[in-house]
Amino acid sequence: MKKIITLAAFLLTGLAALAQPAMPFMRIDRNPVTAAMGGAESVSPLYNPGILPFASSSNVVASYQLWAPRTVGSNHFNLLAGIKVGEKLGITALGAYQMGKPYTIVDASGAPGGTFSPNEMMAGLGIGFRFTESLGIGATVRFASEKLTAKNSYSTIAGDLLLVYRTNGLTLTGGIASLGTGVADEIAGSNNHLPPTSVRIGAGYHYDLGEGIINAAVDADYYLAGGLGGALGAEYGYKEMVFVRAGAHVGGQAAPIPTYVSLGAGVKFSGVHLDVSFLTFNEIIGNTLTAGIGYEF
Amino acid sequence: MKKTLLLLTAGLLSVYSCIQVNDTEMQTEEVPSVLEKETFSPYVEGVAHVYFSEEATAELERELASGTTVPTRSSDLSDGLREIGVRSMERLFPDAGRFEARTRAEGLHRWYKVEYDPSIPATRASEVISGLRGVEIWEPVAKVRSHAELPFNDPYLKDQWHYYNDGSRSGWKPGADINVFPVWQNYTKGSSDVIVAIVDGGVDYNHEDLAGQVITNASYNFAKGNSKINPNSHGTHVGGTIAAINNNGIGVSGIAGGDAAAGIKGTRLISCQVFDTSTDGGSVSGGFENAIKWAADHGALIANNSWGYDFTDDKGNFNLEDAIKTQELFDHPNEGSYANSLKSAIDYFNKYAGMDEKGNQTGPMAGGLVLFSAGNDNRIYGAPANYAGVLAVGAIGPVGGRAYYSTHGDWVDIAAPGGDSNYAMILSTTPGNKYESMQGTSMACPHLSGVAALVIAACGGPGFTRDMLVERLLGGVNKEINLRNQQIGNLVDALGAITYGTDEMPAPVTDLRGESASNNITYSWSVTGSENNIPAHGYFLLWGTDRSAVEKATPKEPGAGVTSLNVVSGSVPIGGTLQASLSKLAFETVYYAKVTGYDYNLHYAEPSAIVSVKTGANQVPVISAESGAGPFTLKPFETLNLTFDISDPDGHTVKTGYESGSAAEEWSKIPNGKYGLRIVAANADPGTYSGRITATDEFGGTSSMTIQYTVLENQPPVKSADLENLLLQRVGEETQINMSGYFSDPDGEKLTYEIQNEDPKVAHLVAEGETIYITPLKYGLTTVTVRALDARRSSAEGSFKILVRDPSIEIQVYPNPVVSDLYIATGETPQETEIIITSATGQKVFEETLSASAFSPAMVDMSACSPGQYAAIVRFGGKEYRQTVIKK
Repeated sequence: MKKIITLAAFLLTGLAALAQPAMPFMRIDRNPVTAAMGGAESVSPLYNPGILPFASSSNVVASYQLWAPRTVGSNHFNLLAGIKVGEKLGITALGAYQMGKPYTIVDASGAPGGTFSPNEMMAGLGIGFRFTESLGIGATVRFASEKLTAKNSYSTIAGDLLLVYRTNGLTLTGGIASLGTGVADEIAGSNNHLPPTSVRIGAGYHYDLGEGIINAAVDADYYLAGGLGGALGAEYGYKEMVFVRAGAHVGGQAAPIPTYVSLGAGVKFSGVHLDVSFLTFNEIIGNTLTAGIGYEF
Repeated sequence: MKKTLLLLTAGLLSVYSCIQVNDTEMQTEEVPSVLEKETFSPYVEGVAHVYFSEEATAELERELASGTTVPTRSSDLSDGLREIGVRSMERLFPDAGRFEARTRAEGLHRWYKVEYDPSIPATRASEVISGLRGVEIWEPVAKVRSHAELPFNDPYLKDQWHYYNDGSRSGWKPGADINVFPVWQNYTKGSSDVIVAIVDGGVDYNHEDLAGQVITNASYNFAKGNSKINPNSHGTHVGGTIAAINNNGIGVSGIAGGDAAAGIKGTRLISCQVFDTSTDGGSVSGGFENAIKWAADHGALIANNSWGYDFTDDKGNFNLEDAIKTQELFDHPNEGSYANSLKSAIDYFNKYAGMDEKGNQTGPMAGGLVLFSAGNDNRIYGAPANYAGVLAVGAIGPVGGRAYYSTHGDWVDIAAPGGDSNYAMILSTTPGNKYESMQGTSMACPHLSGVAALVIAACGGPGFTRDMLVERLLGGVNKEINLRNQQIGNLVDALGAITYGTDEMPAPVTDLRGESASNNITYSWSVTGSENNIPAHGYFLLWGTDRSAVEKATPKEPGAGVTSLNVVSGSVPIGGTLQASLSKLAFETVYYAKVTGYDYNLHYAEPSAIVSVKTGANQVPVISAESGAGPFTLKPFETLNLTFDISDPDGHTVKTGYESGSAAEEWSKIPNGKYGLRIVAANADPGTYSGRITATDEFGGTSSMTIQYTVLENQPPVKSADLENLLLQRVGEETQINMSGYFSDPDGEKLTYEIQNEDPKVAHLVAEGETIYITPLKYGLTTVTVRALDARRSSAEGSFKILVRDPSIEIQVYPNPVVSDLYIATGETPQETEIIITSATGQKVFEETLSASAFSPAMVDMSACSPGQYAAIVRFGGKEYRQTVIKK
């Protein structure tokens, strides 16, 4: 403690960082399809179980994600599933494991003292129910944890609750996302950091062109901690075999995911699909690459 | 009767048969020691006179009265005394009975004679003792050697105390020697006409200090029956004492060894070897009787026999019966039933040595002298030395009494130095050009042979007989060395023997003069001689304040009011100047004096004319300050060393004292005989002080000197510049900083430095003088506080930082993980640095451009951030650095 006080005494400048929500990695889009569409995921049956009863098929995806290679550079291994159960129910599942790059441990005097590789994991389960031909609801619960040092681990439980309205090719959704328990840091008096809870609305549109299709989606989040975020993306599919995707994400200063542009592509044959996405136009998370393999049945 | 005679004869034969093999021994208590040259000191080793304070004297008297010889209670004093190995202390002026009161009144009871370890140099002892509380004067005892200029240049002559014992060593008796120096100086140094037979082991005639002294073609090996002389330590040692060549610049001196530098050849030797070594390494001996007769027939006038019978068997048992029988045999004349071959040989030598076959005297003496050593058994049996036809020689040591080993009895005729291993032994030649010390009556006997050779050389000639020689040797003995009741006779005296029965009355002194200085008078006069040009042995100076009393005074009866002072001429030749000093006389008083010379046999000359000298007034001591007497001004840290020379123009003893003005002053006697005043300003508060030196002579004359000095106010050190931070990049590589650039003292004082190191694991710091040495130990940062101190511990402080960093690291983001404050340190100099902190998902939580450096890092407060991974993007100097930061 004495050392820190002494050091502070000779600082020329000291400024406070902005508040930041706990476990923001919960908002990372791990599905290469929606990731390529600016992360507009609220109408995705893999994220919103309320969509599943309206969907025509179930879907399972395994993906690898090299996240923000120019900065944190972590490797994400993800498993997502959306299973349609009859005409009224749908179930989603999510598993993710993130391996961070080793960082150098440095003490308060600036002396290095070894390295440590942080890691994060997340597991989620969701259920969707269709009330009527056009109205349904989906609820998801996720458990997230992170191990930052040999002695410091943190966790939280958060959930989404989204209503779904569907008519013709239009899907509308709205509700609350990432509502969960707080995380305490090590500062005496315990700062309680909440997950990035937001009020979310979203819309999706499917347009059939004969040999091709177009899917478009849009999300808007109002974060309870302050700030807005939005995602917009579209997909063109040719003969249900080849897909190209593009999108953009807009994040205000307080939003957990910043602004970027995304691109992606995919192929599908006999229900098996391979997809890839690439994030750009962001100095932090730019060059993030996500690749996945899925089976739609 | 016949039976008795036969038994006695058988007994003697038994003894004699043994004599030839085992039972005859060379009478040496042999404790050989190769001579080591010693550093000459003008002072008597191990002795000093010390003058104590009244308090210390009272304390000493109480302790010594309790029976101890060295004080132990006074820790200060006893520690110092122990350091120099003090062995005994006694009053220099003993209790004077009815005169004790005035002895004390004069302070003489405070003088002590201190005997200490003689291996401690006098200068060292002086340093130790002079500084002790209670010691006022330390006075080394000068060697009394002025009358004994060494007459020869033989380097080891100074160690041959047996020729001239000046009493310069602890316990030694001055005059316990053979008094040969005056003989060498005034009579003879030996003559080649005198031949001495060494009936002993073989003499090394090739020895550098005996070359040419041995008549080889007259020498013979009787032990082996051939003419080959085999050098033997004992025989060579004996021969060297008699005839080692004098004044040749080599080795030792011999008593009758001539004077090589003057071309005077000394006594010659015949080696009659009766002891030798057999081919199997054992001893072989024999031919004793034949050897003595041979010597007589080959020109020897003196037969030196340093051997005798041994009555101790192989187990060390003394055979008393044989000893008594043999003693009795030699007690009787050589006739009838007591007739004996050895006695016959001795008689033959006494009668025919120095004579030709027709009975005519051929040498300087008619007849010969046989000398035997008495023996080393410390008993009363010494045959054959007890035979009346020989002179039996006992031994003394340098302390003057009978040596502890010397055989003794009424039959011992005369004593000579034989050495004593407890003090000093006899130094002489040994084979192989060596010089060694030995002790025993074997060593005493050749002293008498040498003296006898000198007497023959000085007094011999036609008509001079053996009996005349014996009369001189026994009549001229030294009776000053009291050997009464010690049964070894009196001590041989070379000068006494030569001057025995002579009258060498010197001429009167005609040039007596006196000079006064204060209450001291020095008289001087020229040495006068006899008609034979023999210098006066000494003079009596008769003095007093009553002229008529001095006129009437004689050496034998000085009379009332006249004091007699004996001054020995020593080596001062005729015409040389003698001096006698009188001190502590009455001031401004006329004194009258005259001198009367005398020869060695106390024939007094006519007195000189009376001279009168008036003493002067007392002059007070003089105190002179070699560095000035001040007043002095001292800065608060300075030390001033002053030296004072305190002397008395009259040569009187001076006592000094010092009254301190402050605790800063230290007064002491310093080794060169001067006095030192050390003023350490740091020991006194600022102000002006005065100390006072006093010097008082023994007659109350006093002088003083005041030393005034001012100690200035102290000004604390100041920091003249900020200490600069230090970036070090090599662990283990020492760096140094000179603090004189950062701190100074307005007083000009040299500062000392103390260091407080916040993290000693990062760097090790040592202050030496004005330099701080820094050794980086590991990467990290530490803050060092330096305190500059002056002598009074007033101080100034400054701090600096030491950053030890890997040279490959251009920025540091720490601590990592961070809880609240995150530091971004860049290069050594501050520069604009763009800092961006983002969450792992890319949310910017901080973005600013700040000034940062290694020692003034920018700080980002991350306390509001949630636990998790963050990215730090740092841009400066055209470069960008990205690091993962963990917030916990």
